[in-house]
Amino acid sequence: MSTESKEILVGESSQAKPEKKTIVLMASDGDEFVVDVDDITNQSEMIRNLISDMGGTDGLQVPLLNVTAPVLAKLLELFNVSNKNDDDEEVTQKVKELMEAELNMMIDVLGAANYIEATSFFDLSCKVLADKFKGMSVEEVREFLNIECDFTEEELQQIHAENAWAFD
Amino acid sequence: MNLFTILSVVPAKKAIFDNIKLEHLKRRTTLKMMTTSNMERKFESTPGNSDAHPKMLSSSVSRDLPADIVELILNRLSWPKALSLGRVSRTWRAAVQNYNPMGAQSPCLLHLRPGTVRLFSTVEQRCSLIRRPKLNGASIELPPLQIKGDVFVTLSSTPTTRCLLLAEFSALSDGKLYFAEDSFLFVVDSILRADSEPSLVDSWRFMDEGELSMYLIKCNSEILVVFAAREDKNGPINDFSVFQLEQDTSLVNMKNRIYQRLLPQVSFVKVESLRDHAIFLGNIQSLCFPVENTGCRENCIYFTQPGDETAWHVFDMGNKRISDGPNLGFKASFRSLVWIEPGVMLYWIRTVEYPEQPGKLPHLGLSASTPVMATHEDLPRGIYNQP
Repeated sequence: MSTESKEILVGESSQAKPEKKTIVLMASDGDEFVVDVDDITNQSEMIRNLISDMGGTDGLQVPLLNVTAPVLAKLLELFNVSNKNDDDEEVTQKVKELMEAELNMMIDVLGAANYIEATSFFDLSCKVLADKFKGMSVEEVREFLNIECDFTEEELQQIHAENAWAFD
Repeated sequence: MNLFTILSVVPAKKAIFDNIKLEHLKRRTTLKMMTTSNMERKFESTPGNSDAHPKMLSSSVSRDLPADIVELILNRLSWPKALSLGRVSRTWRAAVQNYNPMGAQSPCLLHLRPGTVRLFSTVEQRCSLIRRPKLNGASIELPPLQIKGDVFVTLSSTPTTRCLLLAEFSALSDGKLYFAEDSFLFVVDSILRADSEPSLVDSWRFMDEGELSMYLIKCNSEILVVFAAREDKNGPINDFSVFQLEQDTSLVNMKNRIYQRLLPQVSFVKVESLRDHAIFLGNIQSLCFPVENTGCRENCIYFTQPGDETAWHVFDMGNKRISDGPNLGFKASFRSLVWIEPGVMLYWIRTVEYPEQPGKLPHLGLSASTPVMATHEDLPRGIYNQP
């Protein structure tokens, strides 16, 4: 993918632009991702703070022990889309597509974004889900997320009584 | 040198990255771990050792979102929608309890009746049935005062944040106003004493002669005091003045006698424009917040005339004109007007007990748990009884 050369410096591309500063993100499975400092700090507050705490990026390795390699790869891919576009339209579309195709992955990416404090991307992803839920019934949400209804019959009745107005 | 260090690891990265792109590793839910805020604990675990993450593995079966993310998603939905999705599961139900909407929401009007509380939204025109609240009362005590008449109490906001409490004693009162901030109380001599300059006394001069009602409103970190004026006791409200209360909060530390020390520190600054905010006046709680995209008008005060609580009127701070506002179609039995922000549950004054012995303290109980909303039986008579 052409987008990766910008975000994830690999092989020659990094040598061709030696002035680019990079740091290493380590996924939970030990896989390492070399990322452009500007690109990642543009997205992640946590890493931005980390760099400022460490006083620089020299040889910085950031272990992301709760993010698996596939999730991190997907997240970085989406960051690329976000960094390349001024508006959120393109990346929103990508997140939507991901939600429809691989919901599990999307939820993991969402959690990873939350973890590294990629605030604007996280907000955007939440909004995609919120928009999805907006038009869904309770049963549809349960089915969509594969959630079991863990209320007792009594509790359901009680909730229904409390919320009666909402279902008029 | 540094550059070399980085470049030297690149070939390995490339290989790994390519593998990842090709190989779709089986998913491991890592959300629960990720969303805990305790970063240090996470870093204690050994990388690559998945046994160190029992939570991660056990959660791989369920696709349920973690509670805090559910909460953030629900916050992006309207209140009715969020509330209805509380039926999805216990996690979602818990998340709804913390509903705190993002973006513009129309203010809601609280309708208090025995046993039920209804909420009316100006835009959605729907009402809600909120469960019977449980009140638990932390309480604060007012300074010694003899009162024989009704007490009218206003809270600028919930007592958890910077909050003022304004008590106005009618009839045979001594004309004192009481302000409380956090757990501290301030008393301001208002009407009768002009020697404590600057004080509330000053503000009266901005209003024409006539009957006045006062409202205390917290707006972000500001405290606003709104005066509604009528030409005579039975006439309609025809003018408003808004003041910003400025005080030297450095005195807050002095626990015991703070209210006396504060007295000269309180000043009132006239507010000419609310900019993009609007004020919603209620009998108990009033609100002031930005109304862009809520369907309400900026720089306006929403209010009802005494004795007619169905039709709303709008006072424009710019041209000082009053026009008709929304009519929410309340029934005549409507007794109490309380504006609240959707999602912000009220902390409420529970009781005002009138001491039998003169000189003893009237007692105000403040509820202090969330989410809490009082029904009108829980409210002190002096607060909600309106003409």
